[in-house]
Amino acid sequence: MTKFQTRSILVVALALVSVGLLVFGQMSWFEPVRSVLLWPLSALQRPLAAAWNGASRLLKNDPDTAALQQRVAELEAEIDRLNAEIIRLRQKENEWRIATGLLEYAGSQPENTYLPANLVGRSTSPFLNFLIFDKGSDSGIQRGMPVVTDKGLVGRVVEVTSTACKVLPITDPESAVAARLLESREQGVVVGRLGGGLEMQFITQQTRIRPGEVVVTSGLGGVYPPGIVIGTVTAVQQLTYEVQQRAEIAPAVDYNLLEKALIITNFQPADFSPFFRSTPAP
Amino acid sequence: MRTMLVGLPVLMVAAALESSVLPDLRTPGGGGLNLVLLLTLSWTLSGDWNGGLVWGLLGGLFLDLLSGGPLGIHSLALVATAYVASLTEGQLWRSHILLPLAAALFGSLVFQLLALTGLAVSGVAIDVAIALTGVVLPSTLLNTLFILPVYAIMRRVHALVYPAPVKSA
Repeated sequence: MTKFQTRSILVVALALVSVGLLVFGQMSWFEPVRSVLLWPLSALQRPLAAAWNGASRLLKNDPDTAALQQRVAELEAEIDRLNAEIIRLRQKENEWRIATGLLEYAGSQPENTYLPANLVGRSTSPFLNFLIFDKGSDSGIQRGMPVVTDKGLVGRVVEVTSTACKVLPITDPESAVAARLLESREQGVVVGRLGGGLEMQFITQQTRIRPGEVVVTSGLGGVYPPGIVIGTVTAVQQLTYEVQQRAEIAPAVDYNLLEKALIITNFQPADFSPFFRSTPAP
Repeated sequence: MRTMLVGLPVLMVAAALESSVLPDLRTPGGGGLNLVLLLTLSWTLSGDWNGGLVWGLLGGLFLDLLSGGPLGIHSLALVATAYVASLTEGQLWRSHILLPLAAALFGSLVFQLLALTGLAVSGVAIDVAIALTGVVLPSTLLNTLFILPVYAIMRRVHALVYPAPVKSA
C-alpha cells in the first residue's frame, strides 16, 4: 500500500469520524461525552482567560479601571477634606462648649461685667505659674481684676500691656485668697503650693470640715469678689497641738485644660493701704 | 503515538487560547488568527503528513467543543485542510518559504469556507457576504502573516520529536 493510499484511507476515516461527530453530536445521549471532553479544555480556559483579562486591563488602560482609579483618588481627597472638617468642627465644638459654660456663668452673675479672654501663653519657667491672656489695657483691663471661668476662680491680673495681661493664678505660692467654707461659713486663707495645689489655712480647730466641702472666696481684703468657687476640700490636717487646722483644696479650675476665661472688669480691688500707714503725728 | 503526545497538549492550549485570548485581538469585523489551524498546517508541513491529519481531527474537535456550535464541523474542515496541505509531500520546493505562506493562504480559505458551509448547512443563520469580507478575508491575511513564526517553531518541535536518522559513514 502506497503512502498516498494510506493517507487517503486515513483521511476518509477521520472525515467519517467528523461526520459521526456531526451526526451523533446532536443527540442527547452524546451530551455527557461532550461534557467529559470539554472539562479539560474549560480547566485550561479559566486560568488563561483570567491571566489575559488581568494583562489586557493593564495593557489597554481600561477606561473602567481609569475611571475607578480617578474615583478612588477623588474619594480619598474627599475623605481627607472631611477629616480636616471633622477636626475643625471638633475644635469649634470644644470652643462652643467652653464659651457656653462661660456665658452661662456670666449670666448667673449679672452683677459683674465680663470680658472673655483667650489664654495665649504660660510662663516658661516651671517655678512660675503666670498665665498670659490676649486682652490688655486697650480692652479696658486693669491690674487687680479677677479672672474666672464657669468652674471657678483662676487668679487675678498682675500686669497689663496694651494687648495682653499677665494673670497670677491662685495656685501660685505668691497667691493668697481670703476664703470661706461654703457650709460651715468658716473663714481662712487659701494659698498656692509649688506643686500646683491649694491649701486653706487659718481655720479654727473647732470647725468641722469634711472632704468634698466647697470653698469660695469670702471677699475679705477686697482682692476678689465674694462667692467665687475656689475648689473643694480633699483632706484635712488637724493637729491637736496647733491652734488652727489646715485643709488641702483641689482647685476647681483645671489649669491644664484652661483655654478661655472671663475677666471681671467692673471689680475694683479695695485699697486698704492707707489704713496700715503709720498714724501721722498730731 | 508521539504525534498524539505532542498534539494533545499543544492543541488543547491553542484551542483554549483561541477561545479566551484571541477573541480580544479580533478585527472589528470579527476576523482573527486561527492558531489551531496554523499549528495543524505547520505540523503537517513539517513532515508528519499523516499526523497532521490526526492533529486536524483533534484540533477541530477542540474548536468544536469550545465554539458552542455543532460538533464535527471544524474537525471535518481541519482534516480536509490538513489533507490538502499533505499533498505537498515530495515536492522539491517543500523547504521554500513560499510553501507555508501558500499553505496558510489556501488552507485558511479552505478551512473557513468549509466551516462556514458546515455551519450554514447545520442551520446557523450566516450573512455570507459579511462573513467573507469581515471574517474570512482578514483571518486569511492574518494567518498568512503569522504562519512563518508558527511554522518555524513547529519545525523545531518536529525535529525534536522525530530526529533525523544519522547516516553512517
